[in-house]
Amino acid sequence: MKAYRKLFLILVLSLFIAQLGFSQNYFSITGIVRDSTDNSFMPNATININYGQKLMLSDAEGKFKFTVKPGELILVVKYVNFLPYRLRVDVKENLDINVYLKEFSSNLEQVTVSTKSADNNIKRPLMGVSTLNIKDLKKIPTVLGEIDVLRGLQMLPGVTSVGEASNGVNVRGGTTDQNLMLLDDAPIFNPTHMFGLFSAFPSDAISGFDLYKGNVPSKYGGRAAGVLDVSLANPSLTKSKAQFAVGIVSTKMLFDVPIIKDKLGIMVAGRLAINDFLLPIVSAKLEDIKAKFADGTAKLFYKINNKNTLSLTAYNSYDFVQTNILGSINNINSTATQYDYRSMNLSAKWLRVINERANVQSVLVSSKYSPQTLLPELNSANKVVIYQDIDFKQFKTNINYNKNIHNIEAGFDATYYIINPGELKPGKSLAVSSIITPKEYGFELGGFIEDQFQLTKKLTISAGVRYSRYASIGPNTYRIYAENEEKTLRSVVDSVSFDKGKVAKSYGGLEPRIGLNYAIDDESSIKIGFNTMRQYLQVISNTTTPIPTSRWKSSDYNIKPQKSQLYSFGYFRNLNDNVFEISSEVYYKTTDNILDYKPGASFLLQKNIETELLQGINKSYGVELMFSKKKGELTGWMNYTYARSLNKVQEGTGNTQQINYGNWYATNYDRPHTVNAAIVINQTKTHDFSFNFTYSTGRPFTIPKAFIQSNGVLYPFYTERNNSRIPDYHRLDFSWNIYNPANKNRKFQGNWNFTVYNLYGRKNAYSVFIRSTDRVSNPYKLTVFGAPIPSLSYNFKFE
Amino acid sequence: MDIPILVNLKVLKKHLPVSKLIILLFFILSIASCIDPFELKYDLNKSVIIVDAVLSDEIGDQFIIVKESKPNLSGTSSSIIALEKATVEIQVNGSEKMPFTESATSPGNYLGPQNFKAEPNKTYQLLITTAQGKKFQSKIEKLTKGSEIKKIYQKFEVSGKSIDKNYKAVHKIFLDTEDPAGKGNNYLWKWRLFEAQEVCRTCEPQERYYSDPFPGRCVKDLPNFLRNTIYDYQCKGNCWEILHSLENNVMNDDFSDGKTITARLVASVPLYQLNAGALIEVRQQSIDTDAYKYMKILIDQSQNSGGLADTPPVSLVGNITSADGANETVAGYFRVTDESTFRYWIDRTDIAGLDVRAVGLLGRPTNLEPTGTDTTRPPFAPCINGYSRTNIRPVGWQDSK
Repeated sequence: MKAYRKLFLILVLSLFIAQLGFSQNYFSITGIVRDSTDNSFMPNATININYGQKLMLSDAEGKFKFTVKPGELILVVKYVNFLPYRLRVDVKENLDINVYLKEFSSNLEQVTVSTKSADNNIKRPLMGVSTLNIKDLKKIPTVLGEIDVLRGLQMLPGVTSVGEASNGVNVRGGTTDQNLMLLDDAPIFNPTHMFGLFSAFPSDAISGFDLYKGNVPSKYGGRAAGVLDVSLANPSLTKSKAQFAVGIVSTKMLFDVPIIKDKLGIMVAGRLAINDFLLPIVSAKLEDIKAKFADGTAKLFYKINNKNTLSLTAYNSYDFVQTNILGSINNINSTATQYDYRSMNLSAKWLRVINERANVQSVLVSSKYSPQTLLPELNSANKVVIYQDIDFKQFKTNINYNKNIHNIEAGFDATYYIINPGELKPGKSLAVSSIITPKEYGFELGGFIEDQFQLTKKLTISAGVRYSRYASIGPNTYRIYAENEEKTLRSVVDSVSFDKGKVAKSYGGLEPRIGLNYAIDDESSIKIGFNTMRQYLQVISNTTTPIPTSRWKSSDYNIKPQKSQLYSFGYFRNLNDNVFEISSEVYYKTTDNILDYKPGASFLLQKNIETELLQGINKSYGVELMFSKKKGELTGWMNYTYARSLNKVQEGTGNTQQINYGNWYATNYDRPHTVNAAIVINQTKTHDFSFNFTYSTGRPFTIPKAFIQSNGVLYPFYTERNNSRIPDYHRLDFSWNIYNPANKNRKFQGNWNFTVYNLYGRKNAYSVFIRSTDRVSNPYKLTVFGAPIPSLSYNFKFE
Repeated sequence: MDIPILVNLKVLKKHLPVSKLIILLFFILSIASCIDPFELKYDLNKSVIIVDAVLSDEIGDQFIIVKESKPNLSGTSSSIIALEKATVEIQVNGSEKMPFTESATSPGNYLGPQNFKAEPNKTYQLLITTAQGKKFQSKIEKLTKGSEIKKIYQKFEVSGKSIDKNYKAVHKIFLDTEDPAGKGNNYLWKWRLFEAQEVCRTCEPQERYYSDPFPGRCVKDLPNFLRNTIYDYQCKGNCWEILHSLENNVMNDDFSDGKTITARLVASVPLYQLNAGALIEVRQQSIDTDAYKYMKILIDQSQNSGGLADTPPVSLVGNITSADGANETVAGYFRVTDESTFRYWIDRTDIAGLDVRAVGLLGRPTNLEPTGTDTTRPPFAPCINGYSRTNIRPVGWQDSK
């Protein structure tokens, strides 16, 4: 029996060995290719074995079968518009492989240009909406590793700035303060840190942002050019997350904590840059510069029930900079000039879903921006302070209603402004007087209704109208000037006072917003848009770009609000199953009552600022061409813009009542030709490369037309404003992201980001100016980032 | 200009074994943002009449300079031409005309009658007729009453002022003055600095100085191997170099009406010499609001330019215009000012113990001609009185030990 058993064992074993020996020659590999979204079979997918050793197509049921020798097998399955599937395996037995291919569009990692569905561009009736994905913003190169919404937007057509240190962006020929910048519904009055070097938006906490540069939905009001609506991510109600980033400039962290599962969550994000004590070690020249900034965001999300949610957002931003690069306050003697500015925003949003068709959103907003200039005195611990602030309070509510072909949004908003234009606080100084400029009070009401509907299969219309009214209210006293005369102290004929709460002057009117989309076919459409907007609150600045302490001024008895009218036309086409997208837009915009300034104007602590200002008109027009590739391993876009922005200011015929003899002149940010290109090469899941290239015509500056001599010194003599241009600007940036290298632990993810800004080190001019030193006047060029700037940052998160 | 850059060194070190990279980054950044000379192609096409005129309440401090700036044919430069043989007058109280006569030595400079000075409660108007018959006139101006300088003091700073982009030590000179009650007081400050001067003559390479005939001359009589050497010659007797303020400095009392204007920086005096003090004469002029605005624009677009947020330059419009309807462009200002002068001794003993170097009055070390076998050489050079040098001991001069 035992022997029999032994024999059987040997037989089995030898059979097994024989079997082994046999299959060393052949293993069969079978598989099915399916679409990951709906598990449907995919016929005709290409199966590539060992780099082309064997090629075959999947059959009608998505199946494939082949045999291979044992050893390493490399299998790649490809299908048009789907991400390739790669497998490397050591073959020791027969294998059955289930291949699920992911469509590009269902993979967020690969979608570059839009977070919205790919053919949205064709169907949406709004024009001039730029949706840049926050994920891709993180891929494109940055300055010193700081992800920057405003810099990213400048890669899109129609968005420019005066240069690297500009405090905001210019949208289609508008000034920086003509853009409404919202962070979870609360306005941001100063969108940058360190005078425009870094944007103040907390990039880690952002879920998305929309830039409206053409058709602006009727719910937005109060600015004449564009709207940048940035939303913070909602806190997760299920998963906690901690995220850290260490960069050259700042340290960032983010915590996402569900407090009550599926009910209540909080997200806190912060950024801190406080390392200026190191500067003198590097260079004695940096000794006098002190700089630090921080911003923090917290968002609480409460899901009351299935129909109601409540979210509370707080945003705080702080900057402190001591520098002489923004000039000094000439009439106050101090040893240095320090800028200290902060924003404190709070917003609460209640969303109530009434039924499948309707929901109501109500928002309460409080926003306060308070910049101050600190002037330390010689031989004293005292600092003279110039304080300003804007206090913004708003309530708004809107209802969304969908029925049949209609998508209706209607609502109203009420805003109360208190502006403190400037307060001089001498502290213990015996040399400086205390000055208080009267506060400005204003009340703005807006109501709107908009319907987006598909009239026919081919025609979609967005028709909206907004009515806004602004009232400048007392207490305040205004001068009345002689009609048709220059507003100066000499032309004052009377003054008028208003008690608290009394309306001094009110302005307002209808703002029609119309967008029309005609689909030529499934892949192309034309769009027509018309837009009117009014602006009652603006920055008064006579510098190339407003500085954080530039004064905000509300429309009043003597200063009229700005009103813009934009006409636009566009052609949109998607190619190759939405892989490529081309668009061209043409626009023409006029803005009434833009503000410009008289020669030598001074706004600081001025009570009657209208004597320093002139109002005129702006016309801006342009053509924007955009080509983008939205899917594939290589994504990106390229655009060309021709755009002009011209002002005409003529209140009278005197030298101080007009600019450039009342002729059209180029604005500071008028840059006719712009080319931007951005490409992202998604190499594998673990890393990607990207390049940015940008070119634009140099911005206008004023060149002297003669030299004069005074006291033995030569000085430049100027005639007309902005009569020449600084050299053209161009720059290439590079970025390399490595995601979670060699780390299988899913709970911990570490990413490296290596960026080189200005790869070929062009010394782009930020400004060209003449300076008199000794007895001569020489031209100079100021460069902000004139060398390649490499930076490395490390981000890690726990989930 | 430098952009402040922040580096989180401590945290970065943890993740980066090569902390040297940071230093490299710093280096790159400090050269990244900068101001460079720029080759600007001018297209000058404007002829401008320049009138620089001051009528003060101090005798001998009046001058009127009339010049014209003309672009050359290519438009790349301007020539400043003195307008000679013009008729220059100041009309007092709308009737009496005080003629100014052209200086024999400096063409285009017109000097007033001796003892003529600005007085309160009188009006003054400048009238000019050029040799070609073009007429110009100023607005009617009045003397603006001002205040006296109360106090001047100094503060030494090791890195105070940029000279040729290197940071050099300076004595900062501050003043205090009482502002009269009521807004509209405007100030303009100028200074003259007296420094003891040892060298009264410098010759070109390969040249030597010979004192005869007066005031002497430099003769090229040195061998070729000295082609890179220049020799300085000591002064015969005491001599003082006079340095003038080249920068404009104005202020108004908008924010300090009726208070003591304190610690106004009027001069940054480089450390020309280590062991000798210097004498500074500060002049405070009271000017009217329009003159202040004119000066402020001039300053902003020539001295304060180059920041991140410059005010774009504008056309300078002074108080002088064509009187014959010709609409010529006139730059410059006719100021009628009240003046107050204050002399202050800059004591340089406060640098004792500090590691600082003098820049030298010549901007380089002195190189005297070596004494050789010829005992008559090197000769002394005379100190010739003029705009920038004097052999008359300035009032207030203190001899160093």
